[in-house]
Amino acid sequence: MAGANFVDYAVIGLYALLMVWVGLYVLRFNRGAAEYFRGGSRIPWLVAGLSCFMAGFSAWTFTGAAGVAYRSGVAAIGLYIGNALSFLLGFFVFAKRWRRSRITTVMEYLSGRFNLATHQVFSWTTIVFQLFTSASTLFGLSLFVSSACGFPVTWTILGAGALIVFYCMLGGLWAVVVTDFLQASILMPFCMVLVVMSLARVGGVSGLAHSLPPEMKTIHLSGEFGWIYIASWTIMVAFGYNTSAMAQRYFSVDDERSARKIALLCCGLFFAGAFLWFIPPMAMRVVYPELPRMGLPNPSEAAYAVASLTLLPHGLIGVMLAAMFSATMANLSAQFNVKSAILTKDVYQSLFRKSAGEHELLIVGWVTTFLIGGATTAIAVVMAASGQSVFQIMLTFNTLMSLAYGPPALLGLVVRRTPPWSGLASFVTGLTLGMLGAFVYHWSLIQQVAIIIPASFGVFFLTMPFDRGTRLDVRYCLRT
Amino acid sequence: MFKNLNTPVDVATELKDSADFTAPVFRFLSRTISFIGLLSLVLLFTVPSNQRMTVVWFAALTVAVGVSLSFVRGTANGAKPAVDNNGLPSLAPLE
Repeated sequence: MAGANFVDYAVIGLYALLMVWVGLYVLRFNRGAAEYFRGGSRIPWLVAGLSCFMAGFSAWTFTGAAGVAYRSGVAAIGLYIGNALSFLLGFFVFAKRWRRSRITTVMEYLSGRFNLATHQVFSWTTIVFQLFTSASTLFGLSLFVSSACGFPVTWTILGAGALIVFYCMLGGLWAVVVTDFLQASILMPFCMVLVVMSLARVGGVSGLAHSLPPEMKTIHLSGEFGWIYIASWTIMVAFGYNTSAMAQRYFSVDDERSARKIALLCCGLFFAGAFLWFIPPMAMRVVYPELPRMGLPNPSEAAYAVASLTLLPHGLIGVMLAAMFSATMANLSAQFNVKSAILTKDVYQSLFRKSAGEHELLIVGWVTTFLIGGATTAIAVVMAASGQSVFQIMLTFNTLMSLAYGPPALLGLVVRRTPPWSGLASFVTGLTLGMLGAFVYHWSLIQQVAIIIPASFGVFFLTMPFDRGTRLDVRYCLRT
Repeated sequence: MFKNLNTPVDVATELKDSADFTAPVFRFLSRTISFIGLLSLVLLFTVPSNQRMTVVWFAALTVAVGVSLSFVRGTANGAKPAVDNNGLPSLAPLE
């Protein structure tokens, strides 16, 4: 099995230059905050769709999830088909509504639908919690790349962080979506080639099916990565994939039809990705029943990298490492842009400068992107120094935020007759239970979904009798 | 908020002042992705002969994506972006 060499480093260097060039190229598209944060609602649906897809996964897919495929087989494919199905909810229900809301940030919708208190509490909580999620994502990528290449983890974090901040700061959402499109266009052909090579090594699809242990070819009802776990996972990701950075893609396109096309494209791509990404790790289970550690806490998490290092020539190994960067950078750049939009529009403009013009907001956007990126990189460096378990941190914070923020944000789009404080009540319930489950009682994912979602939904619906605007709403309905 | 949710987006009216960058963006993406695909053929000089087909497959798939993007055109709605002599969108003045 080969390691990375100078040809691979040259490929990674060229890839970094390409990202900088894109940032400089799309600078010309941004005339004000509307273009910087939502592309002036003129981003082509195909570009926004691929960007949405790329923002939906990170290097975790090629490490943590690939490890699940190596250990548990088809269960990993089941998890990512769950991701694909959650976009159908966007296609049928939410994509159209997000586009029609005509907003610039998801938080802006909260003040329109609920009240200013909800808007501010959500804004600050989201920023603080997602800083840790983003930092753990960056740390995970750097840990892997430094293991494969022998670079120091801290310098890898600083280099990757600086690169993402640079192109996000310059180009805003346009830079994010265009780089995402380029990254997807490099990543998917690479994944297809690796699938073909992996299958060729193990004697094709039938060879793989015959060689895998029986427990890797079935999914049980309960237990780790059983059907109940996959259903809980699907419910959890359905909230994340229909709010936040994904919602921002829905309102960055011209109309509702384009927004729905984004959701359908992501559904299809995640379905294909479930097979493209997890066949190589499963093939590695046949080729290498015992994997080398490669500096990762769990050796199985190196399965995808081992497949690349075993089957690909130098240069394409560099593409594999660039693909890892791609997936994570797409995820992080989307988060940076969303958080910068929140700080600029929902904090700076809402609280301090209501009369701020487009140019002023654009400059504030640059500054806040830099601050968010800098803070994320700094937290990742601290995590690296403290030796925290990166994937557990990521899962904990992701679950916490998705289950607290998702229910009120999505229910608010479809249920009309609740008082302005209903969103905050549901959010506080979800967040309190989530923190208890994550940090005190150490609930599993299944327990968290089974307890938090009904509680959060219940509180939201229980506020309905307190809605004073019902009569107004009825009058509005009668009038129209 | 719900009044907005009940009102379909009228692209011709609501985005009439917003430039449609579809054509220049896809031209840029098509050229860049095709260039990456062709550039990867340089790897043919560094890889062993038994792995050259892998590089060719990667290059062919990438170039195919790049070429297919060159057929995407913008919509008729919306303002046309200002372009420079190379057909690229010109730098927009900050408002």
